[in-house]
Amino acid sequence: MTDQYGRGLRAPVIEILDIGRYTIKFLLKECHISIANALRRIMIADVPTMAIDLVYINDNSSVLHDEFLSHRLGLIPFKSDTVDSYEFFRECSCKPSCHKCSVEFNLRETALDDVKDITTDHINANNPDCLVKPVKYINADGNEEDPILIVKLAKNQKVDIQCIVRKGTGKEHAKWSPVATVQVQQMPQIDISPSLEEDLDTEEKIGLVNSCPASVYKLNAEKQTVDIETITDCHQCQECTIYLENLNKKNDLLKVGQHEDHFIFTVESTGALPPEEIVSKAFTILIDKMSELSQCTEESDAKD
Amino acid sequence: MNTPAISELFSLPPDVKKIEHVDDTKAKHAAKFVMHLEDHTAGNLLRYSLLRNENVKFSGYRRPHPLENKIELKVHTNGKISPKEAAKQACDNLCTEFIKMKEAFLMQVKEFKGEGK
Ligand SMILES: [Zn+2]
Repeated sequence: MTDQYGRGLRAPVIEILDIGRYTIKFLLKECHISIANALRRIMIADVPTMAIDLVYINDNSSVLHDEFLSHRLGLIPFKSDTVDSYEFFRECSCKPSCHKCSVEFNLRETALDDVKDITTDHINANNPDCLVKPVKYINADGNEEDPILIVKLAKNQKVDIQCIVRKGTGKEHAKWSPVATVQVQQMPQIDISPSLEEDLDTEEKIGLVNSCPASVYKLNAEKQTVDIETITDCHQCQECTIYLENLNKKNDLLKVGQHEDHFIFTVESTGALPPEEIVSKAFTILIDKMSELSQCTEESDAKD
Repeated sequence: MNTPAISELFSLPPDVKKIEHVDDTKAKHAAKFVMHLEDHTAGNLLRYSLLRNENVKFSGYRRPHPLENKIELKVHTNGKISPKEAAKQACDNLCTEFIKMKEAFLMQVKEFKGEGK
């Protein structure tokens, strides 16, 4: 398929390496760096989730002062699979708030006899059928992890808090970012010269394999060649080329570099959204953004 | 104290258009597009998409001030197409490319999950 200037539209190749409960890893091949970077930026700042935005503190006798507590509450990740059914508060026509843009929660606890841990388990939705709720993390063994600790109450201390959860994006506050990190790595490229096999003796080859702190290389004992085992682990430390330099060999035996248009994405979700959902939503946002810009460019009239 | 209101990130004053098109007074076939509420995400994408067009002689963008939510995209063409056409084509091409990428991604996810089961 070609574009208006007959050059062919770019069609980056996507290859999924791994999808976990909270992370996704995929390759983006034949892709210009501007596209990879846009995707990364959108995932961090423009994919909406739900988070506590407004806190009414009726009573707080805990050791944390009100602002501190509010901030901690704001940062709690909420399950946001239904985020699309909510409106942004600023775009909602209601006054002052309604069920389309706000979800109410409460946190009312008193420590009666001993120190009490207040966690995300104590945050209750006013509407029990609500699908938006604090994330319950599940560890690698499939067991539920301890809930997030918000504050510890000593005997007779009390919190009585009302929270309003709203939809937002990371652009406004990082608490709404659906990702912990999005890692974009350029694919490493290692060229091993065919003459390396003859130029190095076995001991030197073992030395070369061991020189790499990331264990990228492997010695093929049978063929006496140095093979690349895990190219993605290479972090461009150049220890292998330094090792060869110190051997005073011709320095073109090994070349370590990076592919210009080949990226490894690692997206770590906060748990608010499934990782593959974050990527697909990022694409949708980019598509909408571009069609909006196209339309607005069309409508813009020239002036000097 | 000087922090701009959060609302400035999301909405424009009623008298401002999303994209202002300013023709260059010194050069032919050159124009500047002031895009409000956009940042490096769109700026960088459009710049490189425009540079793929052989009729575009120059394209560049800048964000004049970190507290102002706008970018300026400058486009200079050879005259076969207008800067406006070039910019619109760049947007349309990116749009199509992202639609394709999304389809490819969703298909790969489906395939991957199918393998797992
Ligand atoms: Zn509302």
